[in-house]
Amino acid sequence: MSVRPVPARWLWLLVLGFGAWCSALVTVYALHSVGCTFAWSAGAIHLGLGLAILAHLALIAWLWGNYAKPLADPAHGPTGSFLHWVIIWTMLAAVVTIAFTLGPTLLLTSCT
Amino acid sequence: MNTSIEDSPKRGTAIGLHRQLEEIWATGPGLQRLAAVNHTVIGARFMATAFVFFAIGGVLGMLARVQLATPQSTFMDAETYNQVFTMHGSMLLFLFAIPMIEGIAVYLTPKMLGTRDFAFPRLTAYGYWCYLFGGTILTVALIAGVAPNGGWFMYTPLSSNVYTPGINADVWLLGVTFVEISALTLAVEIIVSVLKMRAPGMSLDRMPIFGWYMLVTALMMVVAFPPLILGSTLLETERAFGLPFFDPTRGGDALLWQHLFWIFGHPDVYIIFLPMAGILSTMIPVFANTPLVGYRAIVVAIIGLAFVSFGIWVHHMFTVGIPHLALAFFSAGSAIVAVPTAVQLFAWLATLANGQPRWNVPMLYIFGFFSTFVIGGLTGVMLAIVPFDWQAHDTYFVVAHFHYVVAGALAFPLLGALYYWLPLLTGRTAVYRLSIPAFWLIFVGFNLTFFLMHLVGLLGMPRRIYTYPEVESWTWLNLLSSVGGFIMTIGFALVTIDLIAQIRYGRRVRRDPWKAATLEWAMPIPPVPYAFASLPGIDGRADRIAVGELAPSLARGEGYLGFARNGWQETLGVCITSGVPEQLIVLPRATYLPLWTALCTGAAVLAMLFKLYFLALLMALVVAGLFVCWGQNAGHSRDFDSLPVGRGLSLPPHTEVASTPPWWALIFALVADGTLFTSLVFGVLYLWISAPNWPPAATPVTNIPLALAGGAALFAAAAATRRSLRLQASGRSPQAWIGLAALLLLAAIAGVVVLIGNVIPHPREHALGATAAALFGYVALHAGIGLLFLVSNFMRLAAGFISSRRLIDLRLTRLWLDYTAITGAIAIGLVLALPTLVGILEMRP
Repeated sequence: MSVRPVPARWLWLLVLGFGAWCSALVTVYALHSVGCTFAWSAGAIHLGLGLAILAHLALIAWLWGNYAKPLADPAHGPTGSFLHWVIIWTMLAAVVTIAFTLGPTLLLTSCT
Repeated sequence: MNTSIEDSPKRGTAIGLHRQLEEIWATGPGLQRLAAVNHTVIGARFMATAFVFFAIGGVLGMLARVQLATPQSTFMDAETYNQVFTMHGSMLLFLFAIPMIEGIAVYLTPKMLGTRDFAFPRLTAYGYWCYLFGGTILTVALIAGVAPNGGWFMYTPLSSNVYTPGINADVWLLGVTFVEISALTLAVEIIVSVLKMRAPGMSLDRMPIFGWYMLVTALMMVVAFPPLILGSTLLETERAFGLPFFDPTRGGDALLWQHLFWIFGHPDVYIIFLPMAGILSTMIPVFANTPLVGYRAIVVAIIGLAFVSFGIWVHHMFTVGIPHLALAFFSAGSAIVAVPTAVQLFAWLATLANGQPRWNVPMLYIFGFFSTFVIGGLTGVMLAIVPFDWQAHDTYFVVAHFHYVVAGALAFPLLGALYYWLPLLTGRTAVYRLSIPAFWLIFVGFNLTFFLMHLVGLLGMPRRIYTYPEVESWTWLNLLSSVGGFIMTIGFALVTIDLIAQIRYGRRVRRDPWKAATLEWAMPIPPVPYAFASLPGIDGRADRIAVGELAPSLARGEGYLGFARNGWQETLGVCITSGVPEQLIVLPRATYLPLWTALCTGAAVLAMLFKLYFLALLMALVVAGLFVCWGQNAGHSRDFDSLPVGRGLSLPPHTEVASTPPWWALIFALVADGTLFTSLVFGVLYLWISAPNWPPAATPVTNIPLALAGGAALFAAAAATRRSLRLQASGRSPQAWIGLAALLLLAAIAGVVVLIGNVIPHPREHALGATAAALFGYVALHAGIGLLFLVSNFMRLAAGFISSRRLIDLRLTRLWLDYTAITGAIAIGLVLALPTLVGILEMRP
């Protein structure tokens, strides 16, 4: 079977998982700063942060389902299989990183 | 460039081929050395220059240790000590660590990837000269007694005009920024070269792990350096022209500097660590006699590490008064960054456990790395825990920690690498009589110096003090620490003597003395200027090469491009993912242009330093003109369609394909530029929400019609450029549309300059006006660079370098003007939104 070359755009998927983590971090930090500056209630701040975290987890799940999963095509040969493996694991690692770094913020006091 | 080509180049004998290629690729003798652009020459110069700055920085460190060896020392006064410790840190980080990894990357990466040079040899040379001149400015300032004196991270307000008058801080801001130009140019070059210029067949999964490390490191540099460049520019603007970005009395905020600095500063630790980890991942399998364990896991780990290292900059600011909730997630991020680092450590340990390690001098340094880096990593996790950080912040514990991390991650692998690749560099092998005692002196001295700093830090000794009272528990620890420093210095001196002796008297060796399996050993040693007489075809992992069989075959010209043609410096460009060859790249030959351009850049920097702003502007225009000259002879002035490249394959030249190195270089340059722009937008919003003395007394006012007209002109110029590209592609003349685009850009620049002149509040009165002026200035600068693109297009069209097949010039211009229009719209939109934002701010409780 002839091997189909892997499109260069796949490389973006290598950074999308942790890109989502960066976006989540910046969003949470910004929301928190804005909320504290304008004296939002603790509930509103936590709700905002929770939604931001959930939105980013959903984004990774969507990327996984729509982009990462379909890459598992044997026609792309060893290079495709290698990139698929790396993309899947960077996304998984990004999910764990979001949960570990941002999850506990929902349990803490907000602006002290 | 000559365009009469030999129809079917013939392959000769190995020695004949060597002579032909040597004539094309070699750097000339005497003064012609100043025109060198070859990666082997420039890489060696980078490393040698970095060692000189290491020696100067090391001497400064020793002077600091002499001062601190005893309490109440009068060896130095406070001002001298401030300059010494500031320059120690600045030199070792900006003039040694980063340039050294760049030098290693320049020297080794093309060889390990099986190509003949980097994608932009003249840019490599320009980067080197910028580094040398920037470093020289800092060194001369040190000798003249006007060196920076505010600490290596130049915190505001200490570094502002009020507290640091004179040129000390300006030297840092301008000199370091000058050096950063070098780092950024090289980062873009490394990325493009790793992606596009590997050996044919070297797909991403076959690339040596060192290639992945360099790719990720260079990508980090592209994103990490712009925030610092922006911060330095804003601070220099504040010092020179009074724009109060960091002055809280006028709506600025000193903490903005800390944010911008540490968004660079924290990833910088990993920018230093990752290439060294790449070196370790290359050396350990050789000495363990087994392939690297966990190749794929390491790739995942370094991608994760790169991102997480950016997200934890605030852990350097735990004591500035950030709410607990924010402290918590930065603390968690700072702890989790240990995980991808640990993945690599365990992969190396597993490789050693899996193989049959043999001891040699490089392995001694690997052992030194393991022990020091693990200690540094663990104290890093301690400092990531907020309550501990509050206790240890700004004490010698932190000094001990980052010396273990930076020196452990850099010095030990670097010295190991030096011994490992010495036969490649010199063609001679080590004797090792001095090497082993030198290692032990460095190892013992290092630990004696820095381990004790943990203790004295925990006992409460603050950093950056030039003397201290007679506290019994501090005195003996400091004395022993200084003794350790001298032991370490003796070790480094022995290494220097050892290296000189080996370069002079070492035993000559044949290639691949370590029985390694990477491509840099499949060439004559020391390396010839063209690196490979013919390029290898890769059909398996490129770190499992049978060097002994491959090297003679390549020397005989049995690979790709195993011939000399038309005096061209030829190499191949490949598909990014699969490594399938897709273009013939013809590289520019030696030229003095990089030297002249760097000299003029240096003149512009010096003129700014001495506040000769008209001269600075003039020199900046000369630099711009020189860059336009760079492009004038690049590429071909006729179409070729395709040319034979050996092994029965014919490929189009890089000027006639879409995915050409300059295209990718501009994309990554725009990533860097976009990061700088994002940092500027962050700065505006940060000041809006966090700075004291907002809103300003004067209501912000902008000429809305003029601002909208300026934005419209940018979009119209971008559209005109697109039209010119379409016309050229269909074989018609695009000059009129290029001219129209130039006129529109001139109109946009004029409009934006008027807007800057009429910003209310005045940029000197309040940070709001200053940020609006900065945003408009960004737009004007990019429109101006767009004009240079268009001027270059005109000249190259007239010279016949652009045709319906050779469209890269116009495509680059289109990309630049698209970017300028989009960022221009955001910048203008943000300025127009400022009155509304100020109104929202007034709703604060």
